[in-house]
Amino acid sequence: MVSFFFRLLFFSMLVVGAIIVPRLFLPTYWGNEGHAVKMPYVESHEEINTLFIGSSRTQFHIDPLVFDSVTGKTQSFNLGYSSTRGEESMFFLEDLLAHENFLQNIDYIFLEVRPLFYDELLYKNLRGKYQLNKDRLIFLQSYFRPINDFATKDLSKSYIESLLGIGMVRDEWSQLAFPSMRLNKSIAFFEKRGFANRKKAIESDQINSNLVAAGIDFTDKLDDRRDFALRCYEADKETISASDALYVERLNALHDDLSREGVALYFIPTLRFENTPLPNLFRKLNQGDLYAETSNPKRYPEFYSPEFSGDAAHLNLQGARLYSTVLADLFLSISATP
Amino acid sequence: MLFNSLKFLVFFIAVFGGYWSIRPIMQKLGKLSYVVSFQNLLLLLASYTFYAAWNVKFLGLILASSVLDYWVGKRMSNTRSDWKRKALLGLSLAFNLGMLGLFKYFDFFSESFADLLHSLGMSINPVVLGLALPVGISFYTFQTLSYSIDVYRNKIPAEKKLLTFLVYVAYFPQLVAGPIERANRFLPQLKSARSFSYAMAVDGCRQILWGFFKKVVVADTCALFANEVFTPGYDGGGIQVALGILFFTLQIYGDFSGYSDIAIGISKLMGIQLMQNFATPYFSRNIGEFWRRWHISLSTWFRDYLYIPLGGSRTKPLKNILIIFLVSGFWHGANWTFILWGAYHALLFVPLFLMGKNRSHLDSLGSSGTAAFWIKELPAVLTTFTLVAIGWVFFRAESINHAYQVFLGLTSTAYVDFPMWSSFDWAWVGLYASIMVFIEFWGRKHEHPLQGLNIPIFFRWALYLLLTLLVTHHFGDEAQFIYFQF
Repeated sequence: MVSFFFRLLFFSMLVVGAIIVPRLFLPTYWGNEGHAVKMPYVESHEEINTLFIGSSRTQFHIDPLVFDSVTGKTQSFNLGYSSTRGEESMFFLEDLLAHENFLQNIDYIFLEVRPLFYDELLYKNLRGKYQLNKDRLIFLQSYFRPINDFATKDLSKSYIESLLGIGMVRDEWSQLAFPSMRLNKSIAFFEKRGFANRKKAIESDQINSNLVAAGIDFTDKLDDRRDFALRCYEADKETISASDALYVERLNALHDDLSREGVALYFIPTLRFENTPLPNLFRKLNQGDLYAETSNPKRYPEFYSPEFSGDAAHLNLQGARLYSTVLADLFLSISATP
Repeated sequence: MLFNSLKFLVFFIAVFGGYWSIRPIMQKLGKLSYVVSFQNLLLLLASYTFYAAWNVKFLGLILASSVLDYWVGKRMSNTRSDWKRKALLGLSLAFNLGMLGLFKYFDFFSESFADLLHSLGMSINPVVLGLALPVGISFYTFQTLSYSIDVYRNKIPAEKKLLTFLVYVAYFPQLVAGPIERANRFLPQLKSARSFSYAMAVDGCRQILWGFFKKVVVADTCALFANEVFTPGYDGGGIQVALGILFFTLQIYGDFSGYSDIAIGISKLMGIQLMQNFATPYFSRNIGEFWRRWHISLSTWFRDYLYIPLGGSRTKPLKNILIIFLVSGFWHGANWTFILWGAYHALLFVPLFLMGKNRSHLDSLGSSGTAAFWIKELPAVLTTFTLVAIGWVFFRAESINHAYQVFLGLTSTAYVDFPMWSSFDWAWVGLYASIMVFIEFWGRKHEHPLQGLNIPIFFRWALYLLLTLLVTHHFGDEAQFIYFQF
């Protein structure tokens, strides 16, 4: 029996080794294919000093060329990618902070902040698991526990699975062996420094947008979102949930850590996010209240008008230009303030 | 508790550790004669815990069935009176088949009777019990029945120890989906102390690995596409439907034979040898050979306890063949689709029987030389595989009308699009299926293919590592085994 156990132990060590090895060599951002495609570009272009990080609302809304033309002092790159969740963007930025020398050329980072939401499938897939570590597990469990009864158990299971390589190990090895195999390198990601025009992105990436593809009128939905945003904006301006307080605390800590590295972090809200009110959360963030204004439908009615929209959730090219200009103006007003 | 879950992994490690600690502990205490009892007691506790994890209420059914058949066996061995023995056997049959009928078939017969009356112009409301089907009921009732019948036939002595008999019925690796063990093979193993065998344990690990690969990697991946195509109302193109049928054909084999391999492998780790349940059935050269290689424990059960008592090949063989295939189909589930599936196989088998070819191909594939393999055997294998795959449509469909719709879908010229998977996913599933077919072919002459890998240790371990990593990758889904519903 002893020799059986030794043999089993040796084989188990081989398996553990085979799970660990790719993690030693893969970049931290590999699990998000958008980041994995765009990051090598950023790393090879030293002139880039400004990054936009977030979801499709960043990818499709912020045109770095427009932004740079307004600021006159930035060389920016759009690191946004479809379906990137709020915490995923935050964790990605935390990883960049830990990434030696990566931030030495970066002066400004714009991080899209969106309320976190829980779906039991989120942390069952590769995209959810690859960033999990113990610290993040505790954060996520603390955040979701008051909201979802199953979150604590589900997240623990996902964490154990991520440690064991369940749902990951095959993709980690194939990513290591064939780095470009599963990456979507369509032109939409690279055009204009990572900015993707909504229409073009739909055509070239086959991103699901039934509304646009089917030519369905989304005006009503747009009105609903505008009304929702307005109600959120004008509601109680102080209270945030205990979960959001944790989120704010972590984001502000990230802000401070980046400041120490000489990087200014700006939080930008997700436009037309229909699930949870954002403004109160933003008002608790460092300098967040200024950018929160962009989600105010009274101040920027264009962002809720069909003329500037690609679909119910996203701006079109014209809207993106306007939004990029607004962000740049806000940036100048903040950075000009001593 | 599924084999493919982390919960089972923890459970099994605890059982394995406890089980093999018994002998050294007893040795220290100088009570070696207690090893058998304690090993069996631990197996029983583990088995009931395993079953209670599904549904604790149904534990009473297993216990009732076990105690009754134990008592029947003892009573039969204590009497020479023929009518008493017959009555006792009748009691066992009535209880076990009655239980099966009540839980599994009552609603089906009730609704079918109402449908029949409706078609004759009379209308009644069928009595529907809506009882949940106890997991594994078809398997353990057949196992206890075979014991009672064998004792009645004086083929085996009645078991004297209740504990041993309870373990025989409830033994956890094969409790919910077989193999359906025979008392003459299994009980003697439980009556002597098991000692750890290095060779058996290593072979068990290999078989578990292969079983997990077939279930978790091949079957569960194929299921993603097969489930889509077999969703009622599916309106894809003919090529997609054909691929869906192919994928289900691979899924059901990977799923069920994978379960059997894991069960047999786990048993080897416990020092117990279970019977082989599959012998590369998709390499069969005709339907007769297929049925000698598919779900062997059930096929031989029906042969020994139904086909031969009916008269076998000597008295009205065609009627007997039809009965055995129909009953075999119906055993799988209370649905006309399973009966049709049995009838379809009977139709394929009868011509072979009439031509006297049902017992041909007793050797394994490729034994007749390379030329014969390519010219005769491979076309025969592909033909049999296609016929079997067609039969699976009845098996998988939710109703006869649904099966018809699936066949109709084969002729569809609708636009072929595979939005569900990327080319990357297709490449993976193609690779998985190829690995399974290649390794099964390679090791087809052995109990399981990894047993016969005669290659240098480096390549062998590299293969084990590859399979383990693939299993690990797909492990989290915890997809149910298909045969658990039977």
